[in-house]
Amino acid sequence: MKHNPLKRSVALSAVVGLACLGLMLAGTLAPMAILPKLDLTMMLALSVTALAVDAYWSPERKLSWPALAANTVLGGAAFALLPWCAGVTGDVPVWVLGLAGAAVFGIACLLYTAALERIATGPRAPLAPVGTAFMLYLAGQCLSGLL
Amino acid sequence: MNAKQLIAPAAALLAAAAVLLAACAALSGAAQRSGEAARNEIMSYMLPSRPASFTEEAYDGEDESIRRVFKAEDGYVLEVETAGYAAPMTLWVGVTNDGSVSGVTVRDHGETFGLGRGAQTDASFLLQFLHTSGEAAVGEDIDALTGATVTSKAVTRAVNSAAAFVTGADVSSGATEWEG
Repeated sequence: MKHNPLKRSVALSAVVGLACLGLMLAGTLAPMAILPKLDLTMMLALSVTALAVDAYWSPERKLSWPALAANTVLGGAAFALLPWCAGVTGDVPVWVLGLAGAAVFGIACLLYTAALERIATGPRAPLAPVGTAFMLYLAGQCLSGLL
Repeated sequence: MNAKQLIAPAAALLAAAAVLLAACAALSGAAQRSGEAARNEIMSYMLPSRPASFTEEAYDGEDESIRRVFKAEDGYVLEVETAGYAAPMTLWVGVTNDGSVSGVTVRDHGETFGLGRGAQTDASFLLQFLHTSGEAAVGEDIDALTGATVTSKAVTRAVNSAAAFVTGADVSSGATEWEG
């Protein structure tokens, strides 16, 4: 399959869709459970998971600004549309989720690609995508704690 | 990058949205039924008579922290929202008709793992509120959670607000205030 720089948005749709489905099922089967909210930290966790999946799926790791812009827009659409369809947006307006999701996924794409280019050393570093994602998540969690 | 490359992500997004919409439509009835059943079961443990059903009453009082009021024969269960350390906390507080607190449970929060989160799970902390009547205070009759004084005060204000609803006491114990 020819390389498509927007594959990471496909991965994001799959990851966010599965997360929303999980929240929906948990809300039905365990309605009194305290479920995680779709906040910045959760968005970052889903974004870096999608980016790690994409890193294994598509070995191309070149940063392209038009692709980054398109992925940012598609990321915002995924974070706005999918939670709304699943009814897990809570009290947060959909447009806020969309803007926040676009910002989080866009920044995560930029940082993840930049970091992975420097960390990965080919087949000898099979865990580099996961490790990079985990480090980026921890950094984002610290930042959200400061905010 | 060309326009054709947009087809795959757009199709994936729309497919995921369609699956979620279908799942939401299929599960909405079951989710509502199981939610009400679980809510009634938990609330029944919060009053001494273990009532089987509750009637929701409208609340238009001054205490902005009180969100919902559920009445049973021997008392009330109130949903109270209070400002926690990191995010708003939602609690259910059972209060008997004589104003005595008979049950407290944390329903939602964003407190720190290992510290304020104990407000949800630390039974010895929550048990201190039983049989209080709106006068509980951290440092006097309530021992705060270790490292989570703000959370402890938030829970205390919420419980006092709920008790004040029944006793008719001054709502200055409002859970939205930070001072404890």
